Amino acid sequence: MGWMSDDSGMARLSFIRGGSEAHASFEQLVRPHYQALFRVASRFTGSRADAEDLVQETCLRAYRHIAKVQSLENPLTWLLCILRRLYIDRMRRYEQTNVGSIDEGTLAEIASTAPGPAESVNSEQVARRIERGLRKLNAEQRSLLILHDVEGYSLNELETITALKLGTIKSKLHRARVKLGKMLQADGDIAGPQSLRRTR
Amino acid sequence: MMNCELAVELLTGAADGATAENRRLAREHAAACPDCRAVVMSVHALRLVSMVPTPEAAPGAFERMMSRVVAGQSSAPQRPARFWHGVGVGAAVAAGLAFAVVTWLPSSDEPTDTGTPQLSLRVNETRDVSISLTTNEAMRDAEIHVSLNGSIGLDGYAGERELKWLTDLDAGTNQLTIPIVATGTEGGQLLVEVTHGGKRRTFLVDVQAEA
Repeated sequence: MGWMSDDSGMARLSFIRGGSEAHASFEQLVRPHYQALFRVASRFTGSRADAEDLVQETCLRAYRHIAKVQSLENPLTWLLCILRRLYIDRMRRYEQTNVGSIDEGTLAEIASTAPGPAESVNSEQVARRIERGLRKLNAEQRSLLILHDVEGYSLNELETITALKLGTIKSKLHRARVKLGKMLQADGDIAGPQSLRRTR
Repeated sequence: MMNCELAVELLTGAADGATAENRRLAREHAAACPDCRAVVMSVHALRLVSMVPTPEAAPGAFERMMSRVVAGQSSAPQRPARFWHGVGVGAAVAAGLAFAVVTWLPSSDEPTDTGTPQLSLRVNETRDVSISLTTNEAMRDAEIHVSLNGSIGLDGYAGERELKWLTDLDAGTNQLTIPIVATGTEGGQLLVEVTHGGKRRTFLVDVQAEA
């Protein structure tokens, strides 16, 4: 018999408390993080429509745990935990039911139309090749690399987002990086300058 | 002797206070370590990806999301705030599919059948069952007790058939969502008991299953 002193750990069985007050409270909590969620979802899915859908589903799930959200110091990492899990589940289901190549959303699809620096054209061409390599990783590996190496979430933040121990995260990151790096090496030398900085 | 982790940190600029000598040792290490070379290439490549901007969410996306969240709730019928005081009244709420049944148990262990709703599932199909509790005052440490009998399960709970926990109920409508999966053709029953201050409400749902 399970005994729980609060809602923590109630992965899917949940309470939604209150009525309109709960909606307002949820909106206040989530709004500051919506763009961050959307950006990660865009990186994951490579599609604006899919990203919006993924974030929407994430928020619907999160709302079931609004009491928990209200008690969190950093709701974003917890929201990202839900988002990542949903993404991995979706990709697993997709891969089980679709034989052959997964649709390769390119960075061109998700790139902003805002003009970038002059070198961005070349960077984007190279980035598309990297993106193709990323698509060949499984969803868990891809999500880790995107969160840590692309979006810049720290290992400590990844502990919350993935619910994995630090050592496990490091190990998974290492394996994912080795796999991606070897694919890229086979695809030609596309290493970027060390001076490049993360955007986050 | 330099290890892989330090070599990668030095070669990707992640190490603090790196000296030229350390970087030279790291390069020597990587020259003889294919995995480190791959990791360094990967890190540099992903920094390039990070420079490609992502779009902003479309205008109104947040509001659409909130509308959906609210819609998931607003399908709940507005019930009088008498959950703890009235004679058993049940309410169905629904995000997708939902049921709720209230039967009132003054003291006995036998639920009073006030028309038990039924849910039909195919074997291995999962659906969320939602139950709403409406109360006119907040309640601290209400005890929630979920139990199953028959060939149904809690999806995602690794065979758990009984859960019990304490929670606070807000004044207004509180919604409990339970993922039910049919594990066989015999069907079963979901029982949810909410206890507070010596009073108890029981929610019962019959689950029928077909192959």
